[in-house]
Amino acid sequence: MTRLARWAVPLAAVALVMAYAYGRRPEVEPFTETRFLMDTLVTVTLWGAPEPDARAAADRAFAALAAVDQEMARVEGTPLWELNRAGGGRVSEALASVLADALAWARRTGGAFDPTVAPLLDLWDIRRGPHPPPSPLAVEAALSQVGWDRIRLDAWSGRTRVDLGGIAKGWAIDRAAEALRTAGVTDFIVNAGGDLYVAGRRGNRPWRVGIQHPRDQDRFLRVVAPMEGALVTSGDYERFYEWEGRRFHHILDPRTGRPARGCQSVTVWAPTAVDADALSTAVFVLGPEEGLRLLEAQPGVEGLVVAADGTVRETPGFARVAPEVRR
Amino acid sequence: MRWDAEPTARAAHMGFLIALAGALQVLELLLPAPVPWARLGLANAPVLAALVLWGPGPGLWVGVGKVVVGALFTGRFLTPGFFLSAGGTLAAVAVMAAAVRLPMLGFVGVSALGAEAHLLTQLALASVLLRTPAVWALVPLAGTLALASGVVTGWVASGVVRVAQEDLGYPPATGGNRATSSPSART
Amino acid sequence: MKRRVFTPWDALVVAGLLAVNLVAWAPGRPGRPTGYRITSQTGSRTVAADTGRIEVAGPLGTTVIEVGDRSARIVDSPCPLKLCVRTGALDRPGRVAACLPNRVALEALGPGGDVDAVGR
Repeated sequence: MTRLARWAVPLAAVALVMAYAYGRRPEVEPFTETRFLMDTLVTVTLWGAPEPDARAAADRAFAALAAVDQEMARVEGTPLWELNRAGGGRVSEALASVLADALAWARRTGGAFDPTVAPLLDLWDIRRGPHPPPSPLAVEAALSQVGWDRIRLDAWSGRTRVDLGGIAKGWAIDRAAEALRTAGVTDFIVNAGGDLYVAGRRGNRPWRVGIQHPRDQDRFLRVVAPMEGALVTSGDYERFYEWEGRRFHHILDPRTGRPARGCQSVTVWAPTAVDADALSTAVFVLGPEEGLRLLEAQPGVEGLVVAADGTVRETPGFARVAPEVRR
Repeated sequence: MRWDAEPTARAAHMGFLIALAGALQVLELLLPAPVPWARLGLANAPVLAALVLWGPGPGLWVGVGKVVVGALFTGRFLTPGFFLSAGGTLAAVAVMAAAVRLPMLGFVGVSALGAEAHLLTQLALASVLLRTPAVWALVPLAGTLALASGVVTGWVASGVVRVAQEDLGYPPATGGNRATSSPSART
Repeated sequence: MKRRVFTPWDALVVAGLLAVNLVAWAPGRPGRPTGYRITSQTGSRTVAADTGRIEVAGPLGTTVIEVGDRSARIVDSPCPLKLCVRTGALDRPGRVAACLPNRVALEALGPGGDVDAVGR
């Protein structure tokens, strides 16, 4: 009996530690798959579906994204390319729907979001890498070709070209989310280059999303557990080069023809990615003051803005739709 | 009055401890708790007292009595909560019955081990019942509270045992006494 | 001999149990990546930590990846902006470095990631 007694407490201690370790055992990992689509890196993350089903569902999401890309990317051969080349024409229902959304947001944002910035994007050609910025004269010339009010859904008028880069990605994310739901998946994240649609949970906890710090690659501004919906970020750090100490990035102000200077990054939560995508661009262009006013005027939409000086401001409801989580 | 000369008295005292444990359990289940799973655990004091006074068997009976009486009186019998409570108590009895054999441990140490075993077993059962490991996140806070309650419970149990030994004449039957004396007795 | 209420061993037991409880209070230590997924035009593959230098072909040329035992990074890529190189070392599961022009992405895999996605 004594020998047993001597061992009882150590054994009990071992049992406690084992029970503890059992509780801290590694969790099941979600299924993820990554592909290059829409000129960015797309990751689909699924929870709860067994592997073959998850793969099939992810494939359908990728297919939905690819279909949008093949129609609305501004590269040779797509319907959008043809439309720009011909200066008009008949379009599919999908393209018409995105164009209608784009024009609606252009109107609502007073042109801060503008689908006709294509001439400016081509002029600045940020992705070419460090090179001298275009001359003011060239910017003026390109600006003269910009103006969303030249587009009519029944008739294309005037010289302009459409780029749906600020909205088609959001629309595609929504279609991918739709495809996943149709496939019976309720817990997932569609991540297209950092623009997200978040649905359901990651098992016993909500999905956790880190919002990139715009100036420190290694930090998050915040880690949030977003409500079901889209969380889209526009940042000047996504595509940029530096020339003679100045940062030239890809978010162009359709009013000045130059990279917008009011913000470092803007994150918008909206029920759909198409709205969040257009709004994040518009708010970035408008700057923190006017941008936040725009967000507050939209029902059911919230946002977080990092101003050019690094100060962080948000709409009153942002913490409700994207509560911060303890790390 | 010698306890071994008075089996009736012993039975009465055990019944009293079972009733006391059950009553404390009911009281604690009915009292509003600061947090749903945080309870003082005073009902474990009679269990420990029975273990020290009479050994594992009676200790187990008092523990079972505590769980069943507590559940019956609060309408939790055979609910998931009952199984959590039962599992926790059985684990606590087992761990304390073993720890009581260690002469160097006092009431507080034995009780603390029992409280921790009680909590961890409950969490283990909950994680199985709820099919989520999330409950383990409670370990730091709930474990620390359980430990504190274990210390208090140990102190209370020592009081119960002192009364039994000094006023009712029970000998220090198990635990430190037997564990220290038996090796020499056997060699 | 009567059992005492509190002995030095009790103190040890209580302190030990307290320590066990409090260990869980420390925020989950950052998990190290157990492997990395490299995605290119031709598909994805997974490499273990500490694989060393890997060259991946893309439409613009060769992207060079260095996979160490605690982190991995894109060290060179034939792209104009070099944002992938700027991303630096990936030392937590879930972190991603991507060279979009050359269609090469590096993702850190493994349990214990702090986030499920990065909004950027």
